[in-house]
Amino acid sequence: MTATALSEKLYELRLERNLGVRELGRLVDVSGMHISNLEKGKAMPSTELVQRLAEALATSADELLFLAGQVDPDVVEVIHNNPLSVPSFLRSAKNLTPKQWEALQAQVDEMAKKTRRKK
Amino acid sequence: MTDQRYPELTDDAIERASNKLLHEFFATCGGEITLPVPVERIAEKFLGYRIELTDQGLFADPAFLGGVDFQTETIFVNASVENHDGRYAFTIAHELGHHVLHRMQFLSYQPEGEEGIMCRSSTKRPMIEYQADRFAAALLMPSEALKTSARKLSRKFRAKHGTNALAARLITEGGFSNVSREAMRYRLRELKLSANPLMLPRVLLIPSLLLYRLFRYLSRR
Repeated sequence: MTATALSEKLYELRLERNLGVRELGRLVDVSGMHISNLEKGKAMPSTELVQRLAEALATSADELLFLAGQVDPDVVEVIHNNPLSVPSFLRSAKNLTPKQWEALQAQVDEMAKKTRRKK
Repeated sequence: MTDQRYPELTDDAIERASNKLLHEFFATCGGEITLPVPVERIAEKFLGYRIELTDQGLFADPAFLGGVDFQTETIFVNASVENHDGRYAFTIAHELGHHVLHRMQFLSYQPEGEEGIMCRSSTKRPMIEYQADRFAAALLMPSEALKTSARKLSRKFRAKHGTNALAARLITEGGFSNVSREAMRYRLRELKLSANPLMLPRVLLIPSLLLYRLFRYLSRR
């Protein structure tokens, strides 16, 4: 296996955070050798490990999961709980511009806030 | 690969080369040398090497502690030393020694297209390996910093305890936490800082210690 977008990103973030291979391994509870293998693209991390790596490297788990070709289990759960509306919504939204996505996100956040207040 | 390709270097020349790298690195982060010397950062952030912990290929054999591939700019560290702070840092520092002292010669004699890794073996000790070891010791335990730390320990401590205790104290209190006790003892002997405060000739050392103990015994009474 050769370097992947994820492996390059992990290496870049580790250097930015001034962490050694072993140090990062200890932070996320794996060996330094496993970190080396991830950085060389010789191994792929589990979803849980990607989330721990994101926390240790102070970065977005969604970005790392995307680079790893994985989806956050929470997102998978939302799809499972709404098997008709989520695909339909995503199909309708597929051509939205980044600005429209931002506006939509703001609206959804507002709706979620109201729902929490009602509860 | 024969050693004839590489020049013989005096210990002073190796110390100077190590100090130069230290000063160049620390000039990029404030100027003052701090301990423990961050060899991983020197390798990765300053010199652009990638550190790879591995147990594959050559490194399936734990006798090969480390290696450096100048073409891919990778420093390999045998996974077997991962949990030994001293051996881990020394292996990286040793490979940095090859980078500073031997890279140019190695690359100029390397047949085109042939892969080449300089390896640190725990069993074979040719001249360049000795040179890289000496460089590593000087990098991790810079002579000035070590002398300063040793001087901070009381003369009484140095007279009362042996070199082993002195090494242990310097590692824990002197800031050399990434150095093994064995490497520290060796370095103390190299720099003539062993636990013999007055640097007395060996013939005088034992009577001096006996006199010192007698004096202490009498003063307690």
